[in-house]
Amino acid sequence: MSINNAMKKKIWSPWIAGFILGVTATASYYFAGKTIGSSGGLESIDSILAKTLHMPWANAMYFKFQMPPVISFQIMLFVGMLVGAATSSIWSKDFKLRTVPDRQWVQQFGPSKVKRWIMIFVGGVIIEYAAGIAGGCTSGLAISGTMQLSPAGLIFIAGLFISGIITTKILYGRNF
Amino acid sequence: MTTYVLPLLIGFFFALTLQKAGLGHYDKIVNQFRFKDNTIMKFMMTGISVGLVGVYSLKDLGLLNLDQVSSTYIVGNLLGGLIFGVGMALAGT
Repeated sequence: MSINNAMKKKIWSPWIAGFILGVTATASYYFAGKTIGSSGGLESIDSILAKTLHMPWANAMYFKFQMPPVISFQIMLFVGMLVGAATSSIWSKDFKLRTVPDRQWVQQFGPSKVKRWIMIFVGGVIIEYAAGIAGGCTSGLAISGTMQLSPAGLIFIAGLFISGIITTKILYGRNF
Repeated sequence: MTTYVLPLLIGFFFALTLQKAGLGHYDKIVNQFRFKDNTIMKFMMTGISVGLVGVYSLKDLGLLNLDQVSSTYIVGNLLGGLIFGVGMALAGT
């Protein structure tokens, strides 16, 4: 199968996608000496913003040493991720500006845009906050951490699924 | 090169696989928690397994130092994971 045909497919087998993810993660470790992660980049951007705007917390220990205000590996990773995801979705014609998800959302929560936006905003804040506590997100801790057999990754995955299942159960109620 | 071009390439393939596995869609994430669709589990576990073999092979060949291991502190990791799951189920991202 040519690359063009493969890229035109909207969904790949998760096994194949997962295999490429594993190879990418290994390549990142080997060539760059860094692991893949997404939440750290956001905090570096925060750090840069805080410094440029002269916010008082720019001098906090965390933003000075843990997440210094430089264009880090992870910020460049972000740019690459935007390009990669856009390439993938535009090529397969999966790209579309959505205000609410196509499938499932409307049946469950109704057509309200505001409800979706509030939920995704609150969810996003919770996600980034929790990533700060745990020391990584799904990619940085669950995938990259477990890949190195760090117990942190496995504990994180366990916690994520426990509360994820409970929250979904509460949100979906009888339709779970 | 290492600082700017390499992460661009890595990020490109990383997000490409995420998008192709369908993880950009709300229903894929939430249906994993409802046990209706195991895409995330299959995707994540394949990624971890392949990465595990890759990283440890390189380490045993002496080509790599495992110097990026995420630090483990049980309370933090578990608490973070528990809060993270709530956000993930709400936002579906």
